[in-house]
Amino acid sequence: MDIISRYLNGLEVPKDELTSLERTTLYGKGQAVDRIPCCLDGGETMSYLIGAGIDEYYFSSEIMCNVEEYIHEKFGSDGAGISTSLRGMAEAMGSEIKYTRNNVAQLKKPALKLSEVDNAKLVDIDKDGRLPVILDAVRKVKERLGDKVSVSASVTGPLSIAAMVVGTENLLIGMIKKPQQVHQLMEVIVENNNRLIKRLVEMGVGIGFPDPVSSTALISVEQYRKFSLPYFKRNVDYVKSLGGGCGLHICGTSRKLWEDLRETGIGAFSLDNVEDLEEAKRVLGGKMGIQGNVPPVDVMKLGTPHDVLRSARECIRKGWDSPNGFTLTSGCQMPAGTPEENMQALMDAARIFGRYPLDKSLLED
Amino acid sequence: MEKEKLFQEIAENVVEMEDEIVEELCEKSLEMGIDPVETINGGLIPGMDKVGQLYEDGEYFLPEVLTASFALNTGIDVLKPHIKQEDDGGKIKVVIGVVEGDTHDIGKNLVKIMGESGGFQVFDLGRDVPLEEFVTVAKENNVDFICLSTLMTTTMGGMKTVIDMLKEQGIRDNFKVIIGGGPISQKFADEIGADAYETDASSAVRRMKAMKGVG
Repeated sequence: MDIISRYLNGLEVPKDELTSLERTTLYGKGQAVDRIPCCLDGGETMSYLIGAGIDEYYFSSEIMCNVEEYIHEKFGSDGAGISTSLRGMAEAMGSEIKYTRNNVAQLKKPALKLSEVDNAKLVDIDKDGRLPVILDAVRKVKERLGDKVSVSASVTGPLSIAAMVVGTENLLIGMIKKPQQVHQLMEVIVENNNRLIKRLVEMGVGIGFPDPVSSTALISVEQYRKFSLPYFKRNVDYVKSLGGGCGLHICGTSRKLWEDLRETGIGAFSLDNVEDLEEAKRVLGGKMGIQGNVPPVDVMKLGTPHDVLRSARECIRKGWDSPNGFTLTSGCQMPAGTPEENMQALMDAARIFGRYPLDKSLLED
Repeated sequence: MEKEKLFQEIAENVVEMEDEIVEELCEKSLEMGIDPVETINGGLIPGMDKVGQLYEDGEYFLPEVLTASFALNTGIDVLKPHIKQEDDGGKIKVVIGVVEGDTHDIGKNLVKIMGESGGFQVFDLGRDVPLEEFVTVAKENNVDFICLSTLMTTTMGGMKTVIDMLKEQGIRDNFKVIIGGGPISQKFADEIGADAYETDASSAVRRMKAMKGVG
């Protein structure tokens, strides 16, 4: 019987020997560790794990922190993090957001029209929107888990914030009809992000930039270079000037942006499952860590634990020898209702197939 | 100006995303006494078809498609009040919307535009649509297709709920259900018992025509 069939069927999963923090710290320095790091990418969609509604999650730093604690304690995920969410900054800038119990929040009313960009608001991160709740949650997670696991917070990519400030369609049409106003809006967003970044770096947490709107499924490489990259770069430069570290996640297709990303100075890139890890290793691996990319829906939510092991094994086979390190994770945020045994299986895949010294024969079919 | 040349200019200006020029040219077509339906079919739609082609070829991206469709709609707004009511019998009828909980309607709008260019009668429910509304509108209008879209993993379950509602009411076989959107896959479509899954607007429209044996 092959090793995957023996999982949950008598196979002994090797125990972790290091804490998550020890593992990721040593691994980041290129030193020996017990296994490949593995992160469960959750956030608001994981609120069901502790019986809370998604709407409650957004407004309670205690619930946010409890979810991270649960995920770390139960599964041993190698990262704990709080997300500003794709709408958090836009909400602070005046967009109206609709919250419901079983769904991720959504944009109800944009803060402004592009023609009103003079009114784009500079935020007070201690007062506006849910930013104070988010910052409080980061502080709590850092306090309670910071000695065991590396803590991060997400700061949404500037272009994705713009989409939530004026509405995605309006932004995309604006790139063609009102480019100056789009640039003006991006300036304000860069500054708002920098305000948040400053506080987060002071708190000693890493920063992840999710930026779905920069996907080449939506915009062209030229549009990315014009409206997204220069502003993203300024946020990254600021993180680095403060001595912090950051990574980027683009949902959907992004391959055509990778050559540009090599020069941004980001420490890690997390790729969607529509892209290939082998290719990411080749193009980006020399410059940054790579993370990915088990399909969140087809495998993590709808698959069996054995499907998760098979998919994760393929990821490890492609990514393990990436020059600046590899982290096993899903290709995007896991949806609500992802079975816990599948999350366990993802972590166990790192323990079984990513165990050092690596047994390469285990990685083949 | 000759009619053919006017149509060609309208099409070119849809492709060039020049909504104001499209508006002027459509007004001019009315002044010239050209049947508005002819202007839509001979000018606006060929322009949008070309946009669809450029999108499939990777020359155009969503910003261009959205801006061009804005120009198209500007033209249609000028012409629409002058169209004589015709019998809609025989047209493929479609109800379409973004399922409850999601407001991302770019993909849905593309299917609607491509469908209308293909001669479909489209009942557009918009975005964040309560699930029972799909069923109600489908029944009322005796549609051929129910098209469900979502861009978010968290709202995918709503698609299954719609199919379950059809089953409960014993009318599942009266409609074909087509689903699409970023997180949707063939596997998911099979699992919830949808009739078809498509990855982009042009394919969705082609698929619907094929399923009805037209085009």
